[in-house]
Amino acid sequence: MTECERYQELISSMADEELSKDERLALSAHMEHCSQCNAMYAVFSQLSEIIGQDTETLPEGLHENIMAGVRRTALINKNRRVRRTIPKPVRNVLAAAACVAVVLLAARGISPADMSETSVIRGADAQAVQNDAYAAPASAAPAGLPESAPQPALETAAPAAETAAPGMSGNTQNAGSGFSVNTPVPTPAATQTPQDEYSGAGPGAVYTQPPRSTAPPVRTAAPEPVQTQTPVVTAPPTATFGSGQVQSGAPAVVPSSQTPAVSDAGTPDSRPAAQTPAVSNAPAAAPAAPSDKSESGSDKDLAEDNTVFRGFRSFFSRAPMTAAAPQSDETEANEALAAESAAVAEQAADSAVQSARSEELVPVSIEIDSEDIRCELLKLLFGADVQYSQGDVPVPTPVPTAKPAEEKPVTTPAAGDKQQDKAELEKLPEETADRIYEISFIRSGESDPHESIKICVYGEDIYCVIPLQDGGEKVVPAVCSVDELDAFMDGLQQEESTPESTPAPSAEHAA
Amino acid sequence: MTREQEAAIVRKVLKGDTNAFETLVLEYEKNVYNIALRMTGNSEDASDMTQEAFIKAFNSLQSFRGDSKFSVWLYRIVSNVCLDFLRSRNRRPTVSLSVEDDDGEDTQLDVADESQSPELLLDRKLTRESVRRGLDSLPPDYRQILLLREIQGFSYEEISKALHLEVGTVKSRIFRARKRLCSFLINDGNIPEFSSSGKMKGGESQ
Repeated sequence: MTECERYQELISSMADEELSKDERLALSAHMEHCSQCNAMYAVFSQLSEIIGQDTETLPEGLHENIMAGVRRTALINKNRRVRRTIPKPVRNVLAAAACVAVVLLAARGISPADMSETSVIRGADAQAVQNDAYAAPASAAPAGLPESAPQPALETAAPAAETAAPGMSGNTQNAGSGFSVNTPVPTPAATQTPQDEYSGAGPGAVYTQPPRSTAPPVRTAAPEPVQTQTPVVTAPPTATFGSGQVQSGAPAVVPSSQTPAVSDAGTPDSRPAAQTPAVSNAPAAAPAAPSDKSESGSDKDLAEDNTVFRGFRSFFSRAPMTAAAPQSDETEANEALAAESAAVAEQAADSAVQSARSEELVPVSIEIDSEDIRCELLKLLFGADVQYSQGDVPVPTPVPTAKPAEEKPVTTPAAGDKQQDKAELEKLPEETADRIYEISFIRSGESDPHESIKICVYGEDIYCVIPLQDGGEKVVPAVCSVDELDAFMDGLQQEESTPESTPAPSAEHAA
Repeated sequence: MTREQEAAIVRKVLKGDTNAFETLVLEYEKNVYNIALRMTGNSEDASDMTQEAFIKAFNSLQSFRGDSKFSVWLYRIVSNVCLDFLRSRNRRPTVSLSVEDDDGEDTQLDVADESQSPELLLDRKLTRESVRRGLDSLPPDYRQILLLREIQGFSYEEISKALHLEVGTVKSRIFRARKRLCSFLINDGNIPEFSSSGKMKGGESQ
């Protein structure tokens, strides 16, 4: 190693002003007589200067992009945090309850024939896989094992199971939650199965949430055969699963079961039971509903309208554990919403899913075919003063855009942030939503593809995804608070709850 | 911006004030972008890397303990984001003229380099373009450390913190990076006699 080689590294350090005093002294002594090292120092310094000065200004828009990304990330993080607030023990209980529900359903046995026509399948394939897995047991167990229905709660599940049959039987179509089944609204003529009779009537949106009540569904259902024919039957038999109505033992976990189209062919009792709830629940609804019904009922097209229910975790967790079933009956009567039949949400399924893959979020599909309810929902989302015409106009698309801006103050404190984020949110990260509702509005028996809206809830923020004519989407913040939205959905749900209860009696008969 | 100011901002952000983070972005985005630009070689990728780096920084802000400057912590993220990107891109495999020894430092090239006096470069007009090409020719980790020194102006101590290296390693790696750069620039001048293996000394050398 030459003398210069020993000093070269020091020269680099000297250019960076990183020499110690001793090093500097030694180096300067050497450099006095070494032109090569002097040259090296000169070149290193020159390079530093060139590189250091060769900077460019920030590209236009980069700063905004950075901040947009940061805000989006903040939003996502916030929602994650909210999610985590569900205590793990509770989640475990839910998952366990879901598993029980699934087993019970399987035990009941499922006949695909019952549901195959009616059921609508939307959902994650993964779910399908799960369902298939469950299907095996289901098929193995002949329909209706008496043992499985020892408790009323169990019985409720039974009907649900039947409706779910398609999914279980390994049908390709599985509801997202795996369990939800939609019964199409059949012709009034009821040429089909007994189920049809029930289902046909549903004017209102069928929508189900899990019954929050731990109380046995049985109470609600007072089977009155007479009512079977009443058009009022708002609640089309959507199946839900939840067996949840575990009364005493199961903590809070009450999956909602809905009125399954009582597929148990044959039991006359079952029918009345199923319908009764509807009647009892929505007295108010009865008057309004009939008219709609008659129309819708006549439309065979309705058969296509399937209400899909999907369970979703947050719903499940949200359901107050203490709520009593009876209460729901009363409250609903008061609400105009009662007019609508509720769709079903199955949570048990959801929690089952949850256990399998905790991050998966299954949207809840809700169909609303009542103009009143539709307007109510839109006003809730986009502003109370908005006028929504009856049906002729593709409802949500144009209106929402303008509204939110003015209305936002109504919203939570987060509104300001929300607004900003929103502008930058071209596409919602749906996978991180706490829950998603897919609402479709049905009018005159036809499902207009344009009339749909997706509601994504992120913590305290609500965004509506509105499909545009050109195939794109528009994301608009809702002006209402999450509580308000929940209250609305609960209203729909409660209507359902009554129908749910019905299955119990019928199930008993079947058993 | 002082360390105290930065720490205060970080606390605000951690409490949920996302807008406070913008102050930090404004302070560092230019240098972050320029380092990313030299690392990736093009504006588009550099923009992506800059955004990704800030988002990562935002996401892991709670891991910033304040025992070093925020910028040091930030540039560690930037550097890693860029290196990860370059590895995944794999578009321009670096042509290594050297063999790495156990320390991960390549020695062979240095030996060859030592015969090439930087004096040769004194006679030549060094341009930004040629220096950029030279930087581009460096192995990413050399480029990274040199950029932290030249663009961000970090001290060896700060670089050692940012890259989790010993100060001695920082010193020698910067020196090697510069030597390589000189070597490239000499050859870049289309001077055939200065091939990487050539053992030629400048006429004026002693």
